[in-house]
Amino acid sequence: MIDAIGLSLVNAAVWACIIAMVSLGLTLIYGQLNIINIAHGAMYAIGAITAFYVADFLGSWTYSLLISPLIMAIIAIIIYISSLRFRIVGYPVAVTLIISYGLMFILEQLTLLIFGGAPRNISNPLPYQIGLFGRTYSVYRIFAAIFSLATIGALLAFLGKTKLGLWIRATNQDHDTASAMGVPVPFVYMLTYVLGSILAALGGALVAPMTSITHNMGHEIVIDAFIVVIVAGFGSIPGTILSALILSLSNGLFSVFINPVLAKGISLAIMVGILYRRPEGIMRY
Amino acid sequence: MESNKKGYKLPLLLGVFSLLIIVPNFLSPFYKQLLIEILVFGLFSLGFDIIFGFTGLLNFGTSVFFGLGGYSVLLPILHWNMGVWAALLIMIIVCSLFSLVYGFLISRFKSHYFVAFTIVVSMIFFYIAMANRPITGADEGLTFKVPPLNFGFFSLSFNNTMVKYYFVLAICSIVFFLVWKFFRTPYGKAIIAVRENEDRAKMLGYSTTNLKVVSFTLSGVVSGVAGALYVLHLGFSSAHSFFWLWTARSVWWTITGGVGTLIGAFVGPGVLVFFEDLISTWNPDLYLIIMGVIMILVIILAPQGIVGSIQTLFTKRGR
Repeated sequence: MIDAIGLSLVNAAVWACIIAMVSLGLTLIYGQLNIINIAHGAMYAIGAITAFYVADFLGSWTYSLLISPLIMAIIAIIIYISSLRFRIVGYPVAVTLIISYGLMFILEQLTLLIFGGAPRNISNPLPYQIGLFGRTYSVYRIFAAIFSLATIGALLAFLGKTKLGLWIRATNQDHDTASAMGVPVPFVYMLTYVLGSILAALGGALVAPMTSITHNMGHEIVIDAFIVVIVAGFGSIPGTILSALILSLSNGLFSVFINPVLAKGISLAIMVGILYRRPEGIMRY
Repeated sequence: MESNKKGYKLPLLLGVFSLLIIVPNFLSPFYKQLLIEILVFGLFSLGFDIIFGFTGLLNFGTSVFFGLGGYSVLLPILHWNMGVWAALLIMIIVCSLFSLVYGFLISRFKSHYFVAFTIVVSMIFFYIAMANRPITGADEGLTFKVPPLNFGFFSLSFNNTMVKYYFVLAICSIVFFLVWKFFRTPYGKAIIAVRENEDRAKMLGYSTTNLKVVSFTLSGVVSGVAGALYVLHLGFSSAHSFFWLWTARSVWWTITGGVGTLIGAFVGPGVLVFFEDLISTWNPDLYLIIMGVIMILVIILAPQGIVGSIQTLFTKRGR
């Protein structure tokens, strides 16, 4: 029993790291552009599908950690230039929500046309096992967790230490003043959108060897990421990791004992309960 | 609201209404089905329009009521052999009680917190429905035989599409009329005041919490009726009626039709479902892409929606 629970919790922690990374992308985009990026799930799926093709054509999944974000960046730039720049600042959430919903339609249908509807898998790039709680556990999953945490760290460093990061933070606080100080605000918006999208695509590329890849695999994770962002309190990175952990660990714990689908519902209910008690964010007092 | 609009609004409504009564008799069965769906989706969008367009709360979880309405009409019919009217009564009681409690719980939330709360609650219901296969049928759903409509002296079978159509049309018209009247009463106008400026409405002595809860309940019941009609129309319901994509569709329909116009809630699905059918028979692969492009274009070029744009055109002034 204890091994089942332990393994489930480790697995949940791995997923928590990935969800935290994907959620950070959502936070970036919402915090800066006021867009609840429903298309985030589709971007996640595109990341995974790109990883599938990279593994298929280049023979190694590893390149996808570079190629998936790159392709996503190109797509994000196209999206931004073709539609988002028309309706961003000062528009209500409903409007931007619909735009990203339309984008989700387009992206998902494009991937369906290219990739097809059947779920596919790629082979594990790190086919090693380690012993955990008397059972074996995939080394790759642990690598995925560490990689996500490293990406979050790199993002923090980027936001905190570089000039572009400073621009992003300044625009986030007050875009008028930032503009007056010479920050190219439209460029910063685009940069933020691209960064957020890249995080989704990286998440997709990372989970590609762990799950089956479908064109609509992002439908549920986008809701997870969204509730994690809200419970965390916007922009709080420790809060994001903590709330991703709560969501994922409670899901993992309950799914040992009850139907996994119901466990998913219960873990979301716990998140709603936290949000109800602490609407200003889990880490803020 | 403005008196100068009343001049053309009422004759127009009556004209459309009489067309809706007469024209379907001459349509092929397929288009009759499509019209029924449009009316049901219009009612669902109306539920969203009440809470978003008139109260200013972006409820991104109206699919809860859609699914709940569907199941609370399906389960009594299936298990207790109830008639349609009794099941509808149960549905209305269930939906109004649920949305009353739900509304009280979340009335203090605003903007994105409200969005998050409602969307996640709808997902919780989705997972619960998915997990309880014996009760809800999960993703395969439950099929049932719709009992005939009993009018006391005679009864009409739902197998006749025209009966179904007139039944749906009658309920949609009654609900639409009631909602339309409601927002003309002082209480309804107070709800609109909450949308315009919540603090000011509070300063004027209104209990904005109560107003929001009433509007939330109304919206929930209307969405629930739409869900019930949809289930009665299909003779089928699955856990997917709780999924957030349903809400997203109603949001899109409402925004395309025109937010805060009531009639726009029916115009949106009227245009879009028809258009969807047109494109999907032309090219099923591309149709979602085209719909996505249209969605974005509508937001960028005509954010007021179809009805809103026409109104601006007629009154020659922006909002």
